[in-house]
Amino acid sequence: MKQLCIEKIVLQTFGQGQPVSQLDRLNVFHQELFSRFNQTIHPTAIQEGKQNTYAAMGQVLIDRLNDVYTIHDIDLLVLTYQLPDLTPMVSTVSRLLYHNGWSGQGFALSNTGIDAPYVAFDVLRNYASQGLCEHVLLFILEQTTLPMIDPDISRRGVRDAGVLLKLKVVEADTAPPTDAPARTLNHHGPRLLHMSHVARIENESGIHLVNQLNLLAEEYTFTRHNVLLVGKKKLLDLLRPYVDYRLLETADAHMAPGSFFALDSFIKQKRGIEEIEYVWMIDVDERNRCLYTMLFTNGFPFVIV
Amino acid sequence: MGFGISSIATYVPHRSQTVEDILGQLDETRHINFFKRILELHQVPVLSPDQTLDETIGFALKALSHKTSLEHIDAVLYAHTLTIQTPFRYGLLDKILTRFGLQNRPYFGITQLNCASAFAALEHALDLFQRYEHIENILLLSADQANHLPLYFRYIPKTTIMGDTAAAVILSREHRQNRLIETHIIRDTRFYRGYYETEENQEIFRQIYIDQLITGVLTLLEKAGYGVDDVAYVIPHNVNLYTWKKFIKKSEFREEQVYFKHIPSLGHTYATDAQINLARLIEEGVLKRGDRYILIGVGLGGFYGFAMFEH
Repeated sequence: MKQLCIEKIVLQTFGQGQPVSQLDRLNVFHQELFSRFNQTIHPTAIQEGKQNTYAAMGQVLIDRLNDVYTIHDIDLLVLTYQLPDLTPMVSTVSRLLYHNGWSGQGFALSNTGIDAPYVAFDVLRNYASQGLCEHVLLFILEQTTLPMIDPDISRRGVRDAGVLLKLKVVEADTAPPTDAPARTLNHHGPRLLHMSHVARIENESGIHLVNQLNLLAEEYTFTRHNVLLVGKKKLLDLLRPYVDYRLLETADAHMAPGSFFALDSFIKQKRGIEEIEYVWMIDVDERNRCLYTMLFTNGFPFVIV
Repeated sequence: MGFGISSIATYVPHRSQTVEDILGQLDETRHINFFKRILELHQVPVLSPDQTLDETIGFALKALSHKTSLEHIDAVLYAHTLTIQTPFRYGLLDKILTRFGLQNRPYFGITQLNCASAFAALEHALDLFQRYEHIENILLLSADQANHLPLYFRYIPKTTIMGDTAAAVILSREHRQNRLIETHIIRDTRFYRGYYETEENQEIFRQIYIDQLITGVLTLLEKAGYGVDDVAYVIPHNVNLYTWKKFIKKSEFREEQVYFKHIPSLGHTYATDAQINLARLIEEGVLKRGDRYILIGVGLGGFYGFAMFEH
């Protein structure tokens, strides 16, 4: 039985990027695209945006990782995002593989929305369980230079941000979790223990979440001190009446990588991370139809760069 | 463990645009003869300017729904070439799936292997079947269109012209016909610039491309434990006919094994070439029980996808 283990995490918010090349061509591309959908672009939105491309953001994250960790080669590089890249028709995945001299395979997951990290972990878990990869890089990126002014993105103050996770496929702990001695921080790096994806939740997210939580609580011996739930305020509010676990809200400004930024901030604020044994990340898609959860052992303080 | 193709439908618009028209508008008329005589490309299917991508995919899905019920679909994969296809927040897949009563099915898109993305999707489908016992049927959608883009997006110099289409395929765990035997993907990442590749690299790619294609097919055959003579049909991409004539000349495959007859009239249609050719081969009724065939796709950026099936 194989598991995904997080060896390192690099997080970064991005300021102004390099001016995009062929700005006029890019504007024409978007103008034509939007007109087919009876929408209009904002003529200076791209010019006035931060102009970070996923390729440039990805390379910055790799360079930061290289400062603390030697990547010999990787088997798989996966890119996921909610907001589209600044430039069309560029294979960021191939560019990152090539520029860093890696021979692995790569692809990007699209059309996933806010569920991007969950879908990515689910896909990677499949690869891992079949022994198709050992060393994996997962990029969860968001850039905000869009051809129109998006009121929701402006209101939420969404920032250009990214997370790079260096993952390793390891043998799962063989002892049943309930027999394992109660332990706090796992020094070996967070392991993905469990994932769930519940469809058709409609307006019953709270009940589904509590049911999920109860099942996991039995299997992994949750106590009020040893588990941290990370999610959006609206989901955590649904849970508050039912549970007394510690809750950590994700910030609106970080979109898909939000859970990891929230966790980083929590660790830096020294809010008792050492007591926590399990980190449970939850999210719901924008249609409020699917609920996604990921349960990790807590080794996060040891892997965040 | 594996899956079979239980149903396939495609949408190819009736409208077409000729090589003369595309290259003429791009002030590339000096290349028309090369495209027609050497590459043997004559036209590509094109959509009316106002047709949206969800409508295009909807036509393929509607055709599929006439062949089989869609209610047993458990998950949806969407393979595409262009990384930006609609305005942000358009909710492309939501719109399409809701229209066909599939709004609660989990889905995700696979991209950045350009026109070979559908082959990565086949590998993902295999993963999903292996991982989730409850998944019996996966809908694989593929579509791209350039009707909303400046005309130069239809043109790759010295190589191809591109048209608009969609394909919808149902992959079924228990289906015994058109069973997947093996897949293989080559990524030559030095060509990562894709559409914006340097002229020097484009030339290198053209020089090695046929050899890489042959190497890929032979690797696929080796992985599957078969030889060239075990293959009834190579079902190719439609980038150009020159590729396949060279392929036949340089490999051990015979002309009658390569199903290239639609290339002049279809041209390259991004990530759907092989699916369209397969659909047409099936419609013609020439595939016999036990025939093995290889689907092949190539994407700008150095991507080659291969998948072997048994009818």
